[in-house]
This record gives sequence, structure tokens and C-alpha cells, in this order.
Amino acid sequence: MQAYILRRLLLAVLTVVMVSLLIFIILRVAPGDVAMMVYTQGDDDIVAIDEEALQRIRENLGLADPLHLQYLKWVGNMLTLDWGTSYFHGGSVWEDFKEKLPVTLQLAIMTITISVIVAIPIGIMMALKQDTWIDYVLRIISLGGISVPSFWFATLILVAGLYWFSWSPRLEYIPPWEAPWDNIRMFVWPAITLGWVTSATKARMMRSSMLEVLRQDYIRTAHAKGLRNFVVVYRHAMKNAMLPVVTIIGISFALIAGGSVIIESIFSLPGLGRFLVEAMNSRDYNIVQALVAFFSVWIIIANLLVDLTYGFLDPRVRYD
Amino acid sequence: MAAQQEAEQAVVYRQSALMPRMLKGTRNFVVRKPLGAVGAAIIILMTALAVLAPVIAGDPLKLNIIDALESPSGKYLLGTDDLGRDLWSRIVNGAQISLIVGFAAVAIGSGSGGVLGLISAFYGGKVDIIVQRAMDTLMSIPTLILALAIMASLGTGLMNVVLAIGIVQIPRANRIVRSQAFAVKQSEFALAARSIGASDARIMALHIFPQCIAPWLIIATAGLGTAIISEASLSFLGLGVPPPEPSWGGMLSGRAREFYAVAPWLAIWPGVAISMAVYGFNLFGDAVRDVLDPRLRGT
Repeated sequence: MQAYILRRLLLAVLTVVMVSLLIFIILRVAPGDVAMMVYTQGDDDIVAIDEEALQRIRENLGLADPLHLQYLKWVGNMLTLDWGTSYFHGGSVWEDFKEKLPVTLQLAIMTITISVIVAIPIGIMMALKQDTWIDYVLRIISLGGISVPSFWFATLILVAGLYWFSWSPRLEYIPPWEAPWDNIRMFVWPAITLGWVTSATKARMMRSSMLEVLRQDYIRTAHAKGLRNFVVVYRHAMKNAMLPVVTIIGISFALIAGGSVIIESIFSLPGLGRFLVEAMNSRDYNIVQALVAFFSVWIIIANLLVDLTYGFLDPRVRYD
Repeated sequence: MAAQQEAEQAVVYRQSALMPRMLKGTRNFVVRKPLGAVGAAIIILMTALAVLAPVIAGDPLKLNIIDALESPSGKYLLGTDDLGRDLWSRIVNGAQISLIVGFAAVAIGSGSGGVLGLISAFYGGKVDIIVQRAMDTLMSIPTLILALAIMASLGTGLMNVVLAIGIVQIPRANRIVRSQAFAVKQSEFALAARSIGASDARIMALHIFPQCIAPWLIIATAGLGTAIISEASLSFLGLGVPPPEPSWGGMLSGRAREFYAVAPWLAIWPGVAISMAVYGFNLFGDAVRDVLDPRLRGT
């Protein structure tokens, strides 16, 4: 087990390094002259360019150094939590990040709770009633969850709320310790929207995992020795079918990271996802780089935890 | 002369044998996979609308302020938007964008992913390690965020959207083709080909690749729906196909949102179009998976 943990940890560290390189290449090397963008502030009509001012901006942003030095400096700054300032409004990225992180975390926790409660029973139900009308109806609905874009589903909720209840989302964030009820009301619709989308994927995975287990010999043996159906499903089948649930929860982290970008923008939640979209639209690469790195590390840690839990629950995994 | 006639006759015979077989195959598919057939019907309808767009609908970019925010009627089938542009025409032309992005992104992403998977499995060792660590890297960035980052870097535009969504789709095709190719590589016919002196490229292309087509096709069809929804999401967030092009996702964002209370059809039709299209591709993809992979049948 120790060797397995060590191997997985080393792999995770290697992945983090590779991801940081990729992000650096995509966002620092590819986009062209950032100094020029800061200089013109998005205004394309400027004709006369003050070369000296441009050079000053480059030096201030650390863009004058050779690329490998820029990379090392960026990684060093990320690790020491010195995430730089916004190119345009000059605020500290780390301070903004700290303020917005709880919003996204709360959304993630509520979404995962909703989707686990909904998806696992539905997935088991579909497998037990395979090829009956129940299975068909639930399959059609869960495929809908994958096919309907979350931003449209969210838009419909907003339009319906506005139309029939003249409800619209609050613009300022209320922390749960100040007004718990208002806070929950603020998050419930975003969490339901995101929860539906992630439940659909999970229910489908749960269904195939359960079906696979139900076809095993030991399930037939359990039936053959006369156990009641209920006991076979809950004592024998569920235990093994629950293993992939760990993976499923891990995958939700990835889905939520992407989903938060859209859902927070629509419901005006001041979280990291919305922060990222705004920074991307204004080409504020300091913020974009930091946030993309953060979301990637979030996924890598989630995957690492999934693998370790798996190794713990299923000894066969340790010998790959 | 006689020989030519004979050849022509042979072609006719072959066609006459082929036609009933295809019809029979189609009928079998419809009977066995009714949901897949519904999906295929949606895809065919969507393709027909996209191809016939210039005939059945007007100019999607034509402004007509006098007729702004008209509700659906005989003149404007689905109503007009805040600039008086015909929504029907924009939806139909939007189908072109969705289909182009869907197929091109999958061709680029699943295509190069598949080739890399083949190479990775065939050579093994260091090549395999390098390729697989690269795939780990790509998979560690959430897909939508990776696509957004690529768009932020390259700038908006149709070709960049295709590229961004294509890159995001590389790892899945890579993994599935690699694991299949690993198994096939050790088969006796691959060994036999090597022993008579076939080149690496020949073994990969003629002996290993055909065995990987089925799993690759499953991933590729599943990727079509994902690609269309990704394009819509990118355009919705303002980092996809830029306005005034009639992208379905873009039609749901920006200024149009201010008019939802007075013109709810603006919020409805583009979303219906995206959902229908993606639903169609997903239904079809599930059916393709069931047909091509007997092990997964019914799961």
C-alpha cells in the first residue's frame, strides 16, 4: 500500500508540473504581446505607440525576461501565494481569490450532495428494472440531463422566475453565518441546475456498474440458495456496485469546476467560475493563469484521492 | 462491346443486391434500436435544414428594425430578435455552424487521438510513457476551462473553436484506441505480418487499425454531442463564434437576454435547437455503442 501511495503521489506531482507548463504555453507564449494589450487597454484605434512606455510595461509585468525564467518565476510565485495583480484594475489576485473561493466551494458541496442523493437510487432503479418502462423513462430523462445545456436550463429557470414570481437572483453574496436562510435560497437554484446535469452522468454510470455486478456468478448463487431479492440487492450487489461511486464523486469535481463557470455567470454568484470568465473576456492573463492552475490542481487532487480510496477499498488495484 | 455490357450488367446486379441489403439493415436498426432511429432521424433532419438553409430561409444577418421583437407568426415562423432578424433563418443557419464544429472537432480530436493511441500502443516503452503523460496533462484541466483558455489565447472565431474543442477531445479517443491496440498487437496475425517483413506503418494501418475501428467509432459518435454542446457553451460565454454569426449558444447571450420578459421566444428556440441536436446525437451514439460493442449491450 505504501509503495502504491508513493507511486501515485509522484505521478500527481509530475502531472502538476506538466499542467503548469501547458498553461504557461497556452496563456503566456501563444497569445501574443500582452504588454501591447495592457498599453492599448483594449482600444484598437491607438496609432502612435510610445516604445519606451511599452518597454516599461514589459519590465513591470516581467515579460522582458527569457521564457524559462518567466516560467520559473511564475511557478515560484504561485507556490508562495504571491499571485500578482490584475493587469487592468491592479487588485491582488490572491485576495480576490480568497474572497471568491468559499462561494464556489459551497456550490460544489451542495451540488455533489444533491446529485449523489438523486443519482444513486435512480441508477440502481434503472438497473433493477432493466428494459421495463421505468428504465426507459428514466433513461430518456437522464439522457436529457446530458443533452440540455446547463446554461439554457438555468436561463429557463431565470425567465420562469421573473415571469411568474417576479423573482431574480440577488446580486450581493450573503455568507452562511450571517443569514443562513438567505444564503441557502441564493444557492438552491444554481445547485439544482448543476446537480441535474451531474446526476444524469452519475445515474448512467451507476446503472451500468450495477448491471455488471448483477450478472456476476455470486449474485446467481445468492439467488439460487434462496435469499430474498431485497437481501441479494442490498447485501450482495450494492457493496460491489458502490465502488464506482467513488469514481463518480471524483468525476463530479471535474464537472462542477467546468459547470461553475457557466452557472455562476448566469446566477450572478461571485465565485471563481465567474471571476475566470470575466478575466478571460478582458484578457487578464495573470488571473486566468492562476485560476486555470487552481482548477487543474483541484482535479488532480480529486483524482489522487479517488485512486487512493480505490487502492484502500480494492486491494487488486495496488498491483497494476 | 459485349464485355462492356457485361460489366455494366454486373454493376446493376451488384447494386440490386446491395439495395435490399441496406434497406433490410436500416429496418433491422429501426426495429431493434427505436431510440437510436429517433436520434438518426433528428440528425438527418438537422443536416437537411443546414444544407437547404439558403432555400428555405432568408438572410440570417439581415436587420429589420421595424419588425423587431415580432412574435412568431406566418411571416416570421419563430419570431424576430431585438434587431428584427428572422429567428427561423438564424436557427437554420446556426445548424450549419453546429454541424461544422461537431464533425470537424471530432475529426481533428478523435482522429489525432486515435492515431496517437495506435502509435503509443504499438511502440510501447518510452513512446507510450510520453504520450500517456501528455494525455494525463490534458485530462487534468477541466474540459470547458481548457477550451476557454485556448480560446482566450487564440481569439474568437469558428476555426479556433474547432481547434479548441478538438484538442479537448484527444485523450478519450487516445485511451480507448490504445487499450484495444495493445491487445491486437500481441495477436498471431500481427506477428505473422511482422515475420513476413511488413513495415511498422503497414502493420499498424492494415492489421491493427481495422480492429480498433469499433471502439473508436463509439467514442467519436459520443464526441459529436459533446462538441456541439461545447461550442454552444463557448459562444454563450462570449469566447466562441463571435456575433453576428448565428451560433445557437451566442443567440442565448448578450443583449438578447434583456428582452426575455417581452419576447420569451428568444430564450426558447435556440435552446430547443441545441437540446434537440445534442439529444439526437446522444441517442444515436448510445445505439451505435450497443451495436458495435456486444459486451456493453443493454448497459
